[in-house]
This record gives sequence, C-alpha cells and structure tokens, in this order.
Amino acid sequence: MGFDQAALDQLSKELREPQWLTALRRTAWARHAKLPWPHPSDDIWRRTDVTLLDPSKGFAPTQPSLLQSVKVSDAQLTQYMQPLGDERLIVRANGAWLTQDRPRDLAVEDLARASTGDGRLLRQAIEADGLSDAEQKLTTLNTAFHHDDVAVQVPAGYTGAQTVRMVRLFSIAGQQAIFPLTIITVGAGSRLTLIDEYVSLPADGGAQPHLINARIELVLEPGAQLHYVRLQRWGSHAREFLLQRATLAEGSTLTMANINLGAALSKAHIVTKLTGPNASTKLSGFVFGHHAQHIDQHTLQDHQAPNTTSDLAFRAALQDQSRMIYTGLIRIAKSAKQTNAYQANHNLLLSEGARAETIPMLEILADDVQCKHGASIGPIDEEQTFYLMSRGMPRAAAQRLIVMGFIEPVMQQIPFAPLQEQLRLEIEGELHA
Amino acid sequence: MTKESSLLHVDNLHVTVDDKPILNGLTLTVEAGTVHAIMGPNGSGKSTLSFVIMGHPKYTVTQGRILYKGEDLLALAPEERAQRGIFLAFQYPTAIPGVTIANFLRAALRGVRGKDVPVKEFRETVKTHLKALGIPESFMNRYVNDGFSGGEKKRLEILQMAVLGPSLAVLDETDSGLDIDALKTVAAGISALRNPQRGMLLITHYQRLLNYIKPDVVHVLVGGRIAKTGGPDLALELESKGYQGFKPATEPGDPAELGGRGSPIAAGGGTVRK
Repeated sequence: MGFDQAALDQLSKELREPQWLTALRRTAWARHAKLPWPHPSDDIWRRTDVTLLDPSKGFAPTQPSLLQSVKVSDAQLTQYMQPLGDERLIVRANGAWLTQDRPRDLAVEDLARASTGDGRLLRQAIEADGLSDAEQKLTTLNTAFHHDDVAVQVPAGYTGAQTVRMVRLFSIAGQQAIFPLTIITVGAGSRLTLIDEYVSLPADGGAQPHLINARIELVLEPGAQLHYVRLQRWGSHAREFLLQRATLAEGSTLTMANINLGAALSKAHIVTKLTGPNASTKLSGFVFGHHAQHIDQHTLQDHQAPNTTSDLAFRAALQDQSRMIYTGLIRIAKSAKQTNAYQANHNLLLSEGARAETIPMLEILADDVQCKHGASIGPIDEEQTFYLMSRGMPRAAAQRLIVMGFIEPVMQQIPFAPLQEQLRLEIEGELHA
Repeated sequence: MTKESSLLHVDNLHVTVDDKPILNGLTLTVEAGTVHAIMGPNGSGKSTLSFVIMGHPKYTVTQGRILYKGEDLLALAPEERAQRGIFLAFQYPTAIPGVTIANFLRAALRGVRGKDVPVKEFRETVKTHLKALGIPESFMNRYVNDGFSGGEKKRLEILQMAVLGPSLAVLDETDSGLDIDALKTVAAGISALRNPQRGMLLITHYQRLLNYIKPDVVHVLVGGRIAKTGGPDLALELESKGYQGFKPATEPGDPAELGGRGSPIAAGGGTVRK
C-alpha cells in the first residue's frame, strides 16, 4: 500500500476517531499534494537532502494493526520497563500501553480517545498555523497519516511534584514509515515535569532504513510551568523529520531539553512561540553525533508579545564521520518590546572526520530589545588536555572528562537526576576518545 | 650524592618555541628536601622551564637532558611524569567548564596512583586539606577554575598539590595576582608541604613570596641560563638592585661569565643548604 487518500481513509476507519480528525487528515493530504518540496536555495534546507524524507520514495505506511502485530521482545522491553528513580513511568510499545496505572489526574490517552470529548485544545494544537510552506510540506504528512498518538492533558492548577516519564517504543520494519503525534497541553497555573522518550527498534533486524515523521505540540496556558525533556533514541537506520513546537501563553514558563542520541538522519525544527506577555523559556539541546549521522536542527525563537524572554543553548559533540548543521532564527515581532533573546550554539569536534556548521539568523522588528547570539566550532582544547594530563590523566581520560564537562550544562537542564546519571554513563561509554 | 641520582637534574638544556630559542644551556640540580627559588626578569625562560619539566608539547628540547630520580624525563608523556611524582602549579591554570573540582581531583588521584581511590578515603583526604587551606567544602562542587578569581585559582593549585602529594613540585609564579592576605594563605599552604622527601622549585618574579617561604637556594635566570646561584640573601639583593647587572652567560659552566658578583657558585651545583 502506498500513500494516498485510500490509505488515509483506511487508517481513520481503523482508529475509530472523531470526524473532525479525519477531516483534518484529508485537508492536510490535499495541501501536501499542492506544496512543492523545500528547495535547496532556502538556507534552512540547503544541507539536507529532503528526498530522503519523502515517504513516497519507497516507503510504505505502517497500518496500526500491522504495527501492533509486531512483537517487541521481552529482552528489549525489560530495560525500558524499569523506572530510573521515583518517576511515574508510562510505557507504550507499538501502540499499546504496557503500564497499567496511567495517571488519571493527568489524562494520558490515545489521541483518538482523548479527542472524543471536548477536543478544542487538541484541535487547536493540530491546526495551529505559522509554519512555512517548506515545513508544511512535511508536517502535512504527519497530519494526514498520524497514528499511535498520545495526548497528555494537564488540568488547570495541577501541581503534582512527581516526574512523569513516558517511553514510546516502536518496532518498525525496513522501508516502513510511522507518523507519531504527541500533544501536551498544560492548563493554567499548573506545573509538570515530563520526560518524553522515543525509541525505535528494527522489527526485522535488517539494515533497511525506516522513516519517522514526528510531531510534538506543547501548549502552555497562562501561568503554566512545564519542564520538558525530549529524548530521541531512534534506531541507527532511522530517518527522522521532527516538528516540535511550544506555544506559550501569558506568564507561562517552559524549560526544555532536547537530547538527540539516535537516527542516521534527523531534520528537526524546534519552534518556540511566545504569544503572551511575560512568557519565558530556557531551551537546551544536546546532539551526540557518531558514525555517519547527519543531524540538521533548526530552532526558531518566535517572540510575538512584549516582555518575553528566551534563552537557548544547543551543544553538539561529534565523533566519527558525523555531521551537524544548526540554523537558529530569533524573530522579534514589532509589538514584542522589551524582549530578551539569547542564542548559543557550541560544537565540539572529536574526530578529524566530524563536521559542523552553525548559522545564526536574526529578524528583529521591535525597538528596545536585547538580543545576543554566539557560536563556536572546534576540537578539544589542547591547553585543557595538557592541564589534565599534567594531573596524571592519560590523554584519552583527559579528553573524556573535557567532553563530559562540555555536556554538563545541558545535563543540568534535565530536571531528573537519575536520567542525568543514565545519560552521562551512556554517553561517556560511547566516547572513543 | 651524584647528579644522576638527584631528585631533579637539568643538564645543559636548550629549548625552542616555534624555532625561537628560549633556554640556552640551563643547568640545575634539586635535591630532595630542598626548596629552590628561580628568579628572573620577564622573558628569561622561567615559565618555559616549568612547562618543559611537565612535558608541554609546544616546547622543543634541542639539546641537553632532564633526569628525575635518575630517569630520562624527556622520554615520558606528561601524565607519566605526574604519575612519577612531578607536579606543576600553573601560572595561569586552565578552566575546565562543567567538570567539578570533586570529579577532577578524583580523576587526578586515580591517574597519579593508577587505581581508583575509595570514596571515603578520598573525602577524608580532601576534607583535611580543605580545612588546612581555609577553603569551604562547597568549593568542591564548583567547576575547575571556571570564573575563579586569581586567588581562588592559586588556592586550587595548592589544594591539588596537597592532595596529590608530589615528590617534586614546580610552582610557576604562584604568588602573582595575589593580594597580601591570599599570598599569606597560599604561602602557608606551600610551607606546610615542605618535607625531607619533597623538592620544590619556586619560580617567581618578585621576592615577596620568599618572605614567607625561605628557600635553600636562589638562582637567577637571565637569557635562558642560570646567571647566578646563591643563598636566600641573593633574593634580597635582587629586590634592592634589580636584574640589571646580570647578563646572560655565553657559555654554560664558564665562571668568568657568571654574573660577575663575587665568586659565583657553579650554576647547576644548586645544593647549597642553610
């Protein structure tokens, strides 16, 4: 089966979703057909071959029933079924919940079920505009073919202190495509810490690529506070397009960390829209590049209201033949007076073959704003290495320590110590240095 | 005691940086239990000597040798030198952002000893030295030299020296950039580490550190060579008269060229004890 209207209708029938969702699928599919693929003349798309993200180039949609029929082995599951600490762990594998006690006070549900009631917020999140045509070319695919979706709806005034960790496992055969959609709405004045972890495992153990077109929408209502961590552990043959967007209403606060460990190719657009006055966000990112990975990240700090603050710091440590491309746009609307925006991108090259590019972009229409950016690309500092070697550490141990120090500011933004510790051990274990 | 078995024996050392000669036949011997001060004007090669002893890759030894307890030091990597008991307190210690002093010291101790140090033992060792140096325990959670004041950096160098317990400590301008109170604390920390097994090389531009740490031997380094060697009084003499009058020796070991102030002590025979 290919990607067409019939496949889309079959999908919505199987999911037994409300009419409005199906209508959105059809509109998106029609829009997708009309839009051109992003052109390399666009700086944000120049360095990644988008045809590799086109599902019509040899990929088949994964039907929900088919996905669920693929077994995830016990051994693969066990490591994800263990909590890391005192978190509330929710595990979902191939579209089925594996943990029984889903928190009721948070409403963690399949999207089809969540949208049967008052789906107003969910619908708004999916419909949300403001995307470029190029972005829409890819996101319309998700809107048309999404399944295995999760909606987390945090009611107003929720202040549960316990960290919620949601692990999503997908077992995907070669040449298949999945379109996971995650919508997280955080009600007025509520407070939540959420770790959102994504894992893909090759169902057939083969070396064929699988395609993931993912979308994550975070909606913060007035005064909401969200600590959000997206942990990407896609398989080594995965190709990913991600649209991850946060929309912040008045006085809301988002602290976010994007940790990118997996995939052969990843093109991610990470967008923060500050739509209400006094909204603020602190955004961190870490990419651990290895093998022949190609990671292309675009961030947009979109200030639409006065007195808004964004502080972005993305870091990449790249070894082997990996390649990192970062483009970061700060956009400050005319009305967004007294705004503070900061953007930093630092890349550490751990091998001769690793490469990085970083391109800051500024579009400032308001007066009376503070806007700064900084970037760096380079190998491990020789003076730092010598200092540590003079303290008895062999070169490799010295350089490992420096790399771990480089990563640490991002780890500090993960509001759950057991995950910090797991990631430190995991990354240090993978370093060749 | 022969020079071959001395703690440190620098023999006719010639060193270049980017093909520019910096040390031109430096000879010096330090015995265990002694403190040697090396004084000299800017650009005389003081820091070069300290970096060459530690094995900094930027410096090329074109002639001469350095023996440490009879072993050829120049054949060893920097970490091997540290493992054998050499410590350099840097003039400008390097910041390692994101690495806490606790993790750093633990990794250093592991490196120097070649095996892991039990957590409990590590904590107790560090605690003792922190107390002795008047450093609060919260210091351990800070990142290495990151955003440190000059005094904090120097204190951290002395803390490392105390924890690692080297046999030979080279202190490169540890007094520079310190106010008088910080200088006293740091000097007391260094003095406390003097012992009969340990040798120290104090590299300094000014005499003031030597008010607090009395050296056994004072060398004057000019133009990449030891121009004069004497006792502690030599430092006072330098303080009042400056470095003018000490011209570089043209041939190492040629007494006629050594400073020309009274009877010179052969450069390299720096084993005078007071």
